[in-house]
Amino acid sequence: MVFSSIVFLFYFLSAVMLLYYILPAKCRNTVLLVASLLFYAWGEPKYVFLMIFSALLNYSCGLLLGKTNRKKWILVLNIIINIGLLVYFKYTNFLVSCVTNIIGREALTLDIVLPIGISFYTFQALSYTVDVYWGKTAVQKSFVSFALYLSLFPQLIAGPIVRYNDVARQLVTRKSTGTGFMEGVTRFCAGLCKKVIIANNVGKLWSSISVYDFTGLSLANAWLGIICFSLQLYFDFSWYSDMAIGLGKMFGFDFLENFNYPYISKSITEFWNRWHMSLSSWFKEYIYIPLGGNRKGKARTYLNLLIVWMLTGLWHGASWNFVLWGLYYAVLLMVEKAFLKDALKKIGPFAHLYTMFLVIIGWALFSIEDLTGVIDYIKAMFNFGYLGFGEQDFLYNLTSYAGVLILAIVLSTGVPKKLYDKYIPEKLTFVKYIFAFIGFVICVAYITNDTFNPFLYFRF
Amino acid sequence: MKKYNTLISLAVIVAYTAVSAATVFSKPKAMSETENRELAQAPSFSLEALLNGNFTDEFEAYTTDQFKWRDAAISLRANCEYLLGKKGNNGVHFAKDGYLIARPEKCNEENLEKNLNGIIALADTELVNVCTAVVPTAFETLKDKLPSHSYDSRVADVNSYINQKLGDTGVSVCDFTDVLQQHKDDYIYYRTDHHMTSEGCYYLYSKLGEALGYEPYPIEDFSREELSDEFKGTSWSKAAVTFAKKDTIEKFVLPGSTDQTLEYPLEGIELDSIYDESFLETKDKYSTFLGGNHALTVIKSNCDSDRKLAVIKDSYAHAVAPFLANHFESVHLVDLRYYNEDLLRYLDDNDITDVLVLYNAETFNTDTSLPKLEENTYNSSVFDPPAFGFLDVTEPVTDDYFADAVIFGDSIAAGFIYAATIPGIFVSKASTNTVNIHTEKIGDRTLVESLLSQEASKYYIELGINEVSYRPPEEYKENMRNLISMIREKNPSGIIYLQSLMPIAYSTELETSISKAKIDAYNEILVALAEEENCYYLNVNGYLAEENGYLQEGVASDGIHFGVPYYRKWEDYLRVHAVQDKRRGKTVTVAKPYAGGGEINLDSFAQEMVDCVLFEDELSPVTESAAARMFNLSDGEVLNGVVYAGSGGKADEFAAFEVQSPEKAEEIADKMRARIESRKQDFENYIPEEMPKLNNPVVVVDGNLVVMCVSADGEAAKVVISHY
Repeated sequence: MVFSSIVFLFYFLSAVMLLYYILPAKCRNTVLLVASLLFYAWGEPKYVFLMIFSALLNYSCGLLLGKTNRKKWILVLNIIINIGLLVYFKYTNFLVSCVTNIIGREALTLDIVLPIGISFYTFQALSYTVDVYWGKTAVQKSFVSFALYLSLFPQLIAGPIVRYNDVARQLVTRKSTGTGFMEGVTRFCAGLCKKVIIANNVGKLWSSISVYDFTGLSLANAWLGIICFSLQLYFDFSWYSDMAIGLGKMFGFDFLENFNYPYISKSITEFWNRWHMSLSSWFKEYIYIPLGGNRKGKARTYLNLLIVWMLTGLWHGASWNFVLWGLYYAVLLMVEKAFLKDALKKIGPFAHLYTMFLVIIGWALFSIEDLTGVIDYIKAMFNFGYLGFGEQDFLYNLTSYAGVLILAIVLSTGVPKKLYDKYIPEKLTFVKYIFAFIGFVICVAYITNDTFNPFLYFRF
Repeated sequence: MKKYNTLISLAVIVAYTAVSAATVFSKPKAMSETENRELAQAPSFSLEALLNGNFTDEFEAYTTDQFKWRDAAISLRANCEYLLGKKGNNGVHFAKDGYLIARPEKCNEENLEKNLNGIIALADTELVNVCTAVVPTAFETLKDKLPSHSYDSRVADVNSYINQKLGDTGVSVCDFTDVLQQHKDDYIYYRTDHHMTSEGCYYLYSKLGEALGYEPYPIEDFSREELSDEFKGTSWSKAAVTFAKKDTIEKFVLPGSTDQTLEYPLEGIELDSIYDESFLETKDKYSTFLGGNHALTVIKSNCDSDRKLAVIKDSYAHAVAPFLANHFESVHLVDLRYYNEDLLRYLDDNDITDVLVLYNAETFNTDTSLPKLEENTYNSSVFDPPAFGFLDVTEPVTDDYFADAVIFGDSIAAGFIYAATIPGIFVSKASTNTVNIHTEKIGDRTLVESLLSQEASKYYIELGINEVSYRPPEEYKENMRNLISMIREKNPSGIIYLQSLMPIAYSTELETSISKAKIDAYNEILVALAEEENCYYLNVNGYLAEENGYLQEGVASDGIHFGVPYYRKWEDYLRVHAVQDKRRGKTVTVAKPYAGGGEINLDSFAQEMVDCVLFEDELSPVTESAAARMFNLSDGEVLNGVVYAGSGGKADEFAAFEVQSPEKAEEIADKMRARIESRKQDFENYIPEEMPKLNNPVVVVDGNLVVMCVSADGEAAKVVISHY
């Protein structure tokens, strides 16, 4: 069930909201847990048991870790099972094809379906057991609370990756206020608009360009396509975080922000401090720092960066282009760390151009799964022999989507929000509510009509 | 503000719950009128459907389709898209002057080729005249009205591909591009529908007159009657914007043509009007024309024509057909998307001679039902053929039947070159057998290559006498089978006749290793082969032989190569042993080399030659067209002529032509020498005894007279010639 559907909006959400606020406060966690399991089972009727298993496993590991002396063994076992499941469901076919490639046999594909959200909830579970092992957080004694943490429907499918520590207290007691609820509602509506009006629209243009024959693609269309993809990815992904944060607020949770206008960054380092922050910080906390971070000399620092970014790449998908994409960022970040960082500070707006240029190239690696396709596409982006700016096809694409593209670019700079905060006094918050209402109605109109409603982040 | 938030929250929850409840509990609708389709209904629950995801998918489709304010939502979205600067919605452009113009698919050459092959296959049956007319859609014709940068040549590409592909075939193409361009400022397309208005269809009709051979009535002759001004068509539904302008539907009636009736034969329904005005009350108002899509629709009219027209069509033709009905006794509209009967049979049964393929460019580009035509032509029993194998006597055919027949074989078949009165394509050479036909050449092609290069629909094969004495029958059979399969490959629908080996004289059996028994064995093989390979066996042998099964003594100088009278008998046999072919066939062009006039009495010359010169063969006069074949004469090349030839076993023959000038006479003499040279090649390895005659021919040019004589008695010939 995606958030941008009639079933979610008018069947599921309204029922959950009603029950949540009608029933006594002590039932709230149970209501949310049941709702979350139903939400998951709607899309994955079989794998909901896998998720329940994962909840039981990590819950009992937590209990054991609080009692035994052999903590290390418990943790290692826990990590092996968690990662083992993730690897089995997500990477088996990739590994098999690597092996068969090496030994020169014909590739075989196993019939393994990736359970939705497994990448997210596995990482959440690990954040709990590792934190318990480190003594950073107390053991959760209530299974309902723990299972709710793992399966909470707003962030279940595509994050943000909420660390247990950040919500531990809210799982037990949380206050629902009218202000918080309305903030949640507006955030939810804003997110819905991002997805339905912008991401889906620019996505349409990308999907029409991505089926072109890349070897005959003009430079103009190649850039237009990949810019669309960049915007689609940002709006699609940050939409999900907005929805999660908004829904969370409506039920009294406070999740950390996940995106902070990444496309205004002035360096790659900054970009990764603004893009999918929950993922970057997870890798930093649980991989980079345990490996020694930057405290063990330059060589180790770079090695650690390389490892972290290989894994980051692989986390995004089981195929070589994601590994390449991870390595690409590893190299860029190393270069910036080594010497470029200071230089970038001196060149002002050019630093922004530099960043966007490299990020967009990065998305080309990310968006096309087969490597020859990636190479052909990047070639087309730099094929100065075939510009194609005057071609009817390009002009048609560009002028058809100009309105949406301008809207998307302006919104991704954060300027409208700044202007709003500056010129609309807090007293006039209802202006926001009116916008939210109009936005919601328009989104429902789009959802009703638009059969084009794919969701990019299902594969993680 | 903060203090109100709790109240507002409460209000939001209550209002939202109410709206949701209204949505959840609204009564499901069966159909969406605006979208013209059935809406999804609540799926029935089963564990299996739940586990494989079907239930949830269907349930989501159901909730979206049955959303309480669906129509309003769709219009709201459309207007938002317009405000966002989009050039269209759901594949329909927001064009100028209130036009909503569908954006067609790009030109799909692969699909077009399949569709055109269907049409070509229909034309190739030669049962009907086929005209292809693909109408450019508004996207092409009204390109000036499209939003900026939206136009490309996709529709024009479809039309030019059709023109190019059909250019080399016999299918005529009617191109509307120019006529529609001339009238593009008139109301020729509906603003909110992909069809053409009746006025637009008038122009299609006026242009089609050239291709279909009628004189269109001028537009002033029609009285125009408005049927509705409330028409909201398919583009309206797709674009869904609230600011579109409604359309007007008119009908054009020719005074006096009111007796047109409508029939759906497959459904057994007859109507007394070609307009079904009940549709005017529905959204689908265009279906007023002919009552919408039916597999088969027949319009009968009272016009004074006996021509019948079939239209293979999409719905574009519905508004054109009322015009066409003014010129045809009946118009049969076939929608191949729904029509699954044998179309050729239908055309044949209804004596339809003209077929119009009328589509709009978008349907033609994307439709996948036209290739049915190709299957039709393979499956159809157009010929109603008798069983394969031994062919009994049939209804006689006229000589036209043989115009596209190849007569193929050895020296006996070669006799037809001069003996034939039937037209035909003669490919034969003396001394050939089933092996050397692949190596022996006529000109620079082998016999088989020459055979296969002919545009023919019937193949008469006569081969085997040169090998019957030594080649085992089974080997002969496989060689023949191989030849048949080569012909089949070239022309799968060709009719193949295997002619028997001809009888020989009893005396020849005694003198040579050829025997009646061996010939009979071969002929039995041919009967079996004809059954196995779907050919016909012609027992010419039985017709030419005496009661004892042998050739009458004396009719052939060598007991094998009979003379002209026997070819006449052979022809007679072929005329009443022919499988009927309803195809129109080719126009017969009989060569006419004799221009007429001339002063010399060639008949008495010929008589004197026959009387005085000692020929070793019985010579007979050949027809004018045979003479043309023998000497490669073109029409009207000589004033008068006479040619006598014998059988294939002897070289003896003579010819005389009177021409207009001595120069021309020299040209003809050269042609005679060329004939002698080619005959030398035939006889050299075949009957070398005849070579002295060919090495000492008489060719004389005397003023306007030119004479050739091949015989062992050249001196006598010269004497006769000197008399003229």
